[in-house]
Amino acid sequence: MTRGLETEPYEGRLRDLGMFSLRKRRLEEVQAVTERREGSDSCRQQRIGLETMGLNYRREVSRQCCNQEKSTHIGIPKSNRARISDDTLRPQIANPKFATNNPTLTTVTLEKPFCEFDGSMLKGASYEVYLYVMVDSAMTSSSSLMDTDDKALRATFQQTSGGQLGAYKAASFDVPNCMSPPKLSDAADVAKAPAVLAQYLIRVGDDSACLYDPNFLEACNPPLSEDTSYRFKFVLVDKTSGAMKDQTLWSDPIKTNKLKQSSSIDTWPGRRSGGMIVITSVLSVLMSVLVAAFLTAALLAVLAWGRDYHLDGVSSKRRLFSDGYPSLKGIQERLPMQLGVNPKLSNMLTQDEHKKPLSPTPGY
Amino acid sequence: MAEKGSPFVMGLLVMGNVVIMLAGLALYAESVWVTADPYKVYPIMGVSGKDDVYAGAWISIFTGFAFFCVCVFGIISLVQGNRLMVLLYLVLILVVYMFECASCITSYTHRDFVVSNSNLVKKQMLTFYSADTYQGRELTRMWDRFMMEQQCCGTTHPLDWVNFTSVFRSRYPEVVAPWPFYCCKRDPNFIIINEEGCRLGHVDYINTKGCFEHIKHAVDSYAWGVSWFGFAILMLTCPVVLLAIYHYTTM
Repeated sequence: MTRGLETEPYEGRLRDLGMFSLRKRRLEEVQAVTERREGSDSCRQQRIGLETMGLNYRREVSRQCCNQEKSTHIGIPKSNRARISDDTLRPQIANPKFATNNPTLTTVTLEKPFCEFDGSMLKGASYEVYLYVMVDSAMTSSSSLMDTDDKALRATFQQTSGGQLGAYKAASFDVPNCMSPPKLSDAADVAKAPAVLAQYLIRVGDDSACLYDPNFLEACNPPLSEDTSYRFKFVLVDKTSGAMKDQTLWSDPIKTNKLKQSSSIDTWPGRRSGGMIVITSVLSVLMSVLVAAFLTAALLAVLAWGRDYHLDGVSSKRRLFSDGYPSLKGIQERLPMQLGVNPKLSNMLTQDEHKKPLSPTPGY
Repeated sequence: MAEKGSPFVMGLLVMGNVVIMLAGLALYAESVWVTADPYKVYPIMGVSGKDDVYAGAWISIFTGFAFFCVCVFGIISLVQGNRLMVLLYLVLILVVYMFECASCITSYTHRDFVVSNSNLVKKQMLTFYSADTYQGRELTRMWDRFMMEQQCCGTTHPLDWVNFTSVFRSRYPEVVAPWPFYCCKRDPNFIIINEEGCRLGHVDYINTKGCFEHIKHAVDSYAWGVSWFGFAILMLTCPVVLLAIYHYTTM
């Protein structure tokens, strides 16, 4: 820390050291951006058009516009300017409204480079855009996309072992038409949807068959590996000569998804619901109250019966059971009487008991 | 007749029994509705063995009808003023009461296991959907129907299919089918509107809602039918039985 400035606030220190104050620098950045944004009317309209159509571009407008205005920036530190264009000219991941599942395990869906290359295209020549893919960890090795004679690299997925050794060409497509970008709202229209999606999006890792198809000669775009960071780059190529005319920066690293083990899902229900607790506790209490009441009543009845039995036997039994039906006691009382009334029957019973061990009476 | 309790208590008891009798019939009918499984969610519970919501319903078919019969018997015995019959009535209704308690508690506890959060259903979906077993086929059929009829996808959202390993994922590469095509929005003839849009997950071409809400709703309505309705009947039965016990002691 510089001596004598410890008491000053940070911005004061910078000012005293002859640096820009932070605020001033930030202001200049904003000015630079707005200047470029609002540079010309046609430019601004184009930008607003793109934004309303749902395109994701953070880049202000087309290169065409920007090129004209780049020269008009005065008084902005060069490093700042460089950083601004850094932010703006990278491949972008697709608008999440278009692709909710993005990036997936093996694919990444990108926006096509709308209006990026307009400044570098000459009238009359035909161009196409190549998409290059590289694993993020391969960035340390050479990331040049030109071979010796200035032509765009034609490395394939197999040659770079899936982008690990360097960039491979994943796809080529016509330059998106900057004048009529697709409208986001049109994607809801079934008739226009395929066209809109095809115009707007490029899906890296889209082709699961090309690796195993011996007749496939184009750039193969096989599925990416899961849980890996990739970077992407669009390159403008002259169709006839194959020479590289322009390129975007490498995108920020975009990581493909990783599968979680379904067996790791915890199915424990956690806290019990209030309803279950209420039902269980209330019903247990009610049940025990009922049983207790019933047992008490039964006990009382038995006690009352016992007390009455000592006082007089017959009536107490009538109290315990009903008096509408003959009680057990009554039956017992009446049984010997009946037997006595019918001596033949009692005789037969006793005879039967005597005979039984010897031989059963036939026909009895 | 003075020793047989007051006629007011008697009237209350008969009325209470009539109400329980009718409620028992209603419980019986409702339990039949539950066991018939009109929402057809049985595979979800059957596969994981947590199908005791239905067990509760089966028990309450029995208890519902038993309440009806026992209360008819109770009314007869009360009117006759026969102590032995009232005693038998009390014993019977206590037994039925116990079974009904068990039915309520079982049903609600297992509802908690299945739908208190979506994890069980999700895990089941991932382990059994498109598996080539009897259970797998059963569950696949159920999920296909749900996703098509309810216009939903996955358990909580379509990304369930994408974020986790599953039998489905091991059978179909993600590039071709990140999720089953039953997740795709369809026209009135059940033809997929736009396959590419569905594959990308464009909101207009995929069902973004999960199916768990529907499953939860179905299981909840079963559990509510069996548990809460049974609970209400038991709450009513309790004072009636207490009164009957009191009446018995005064007979």
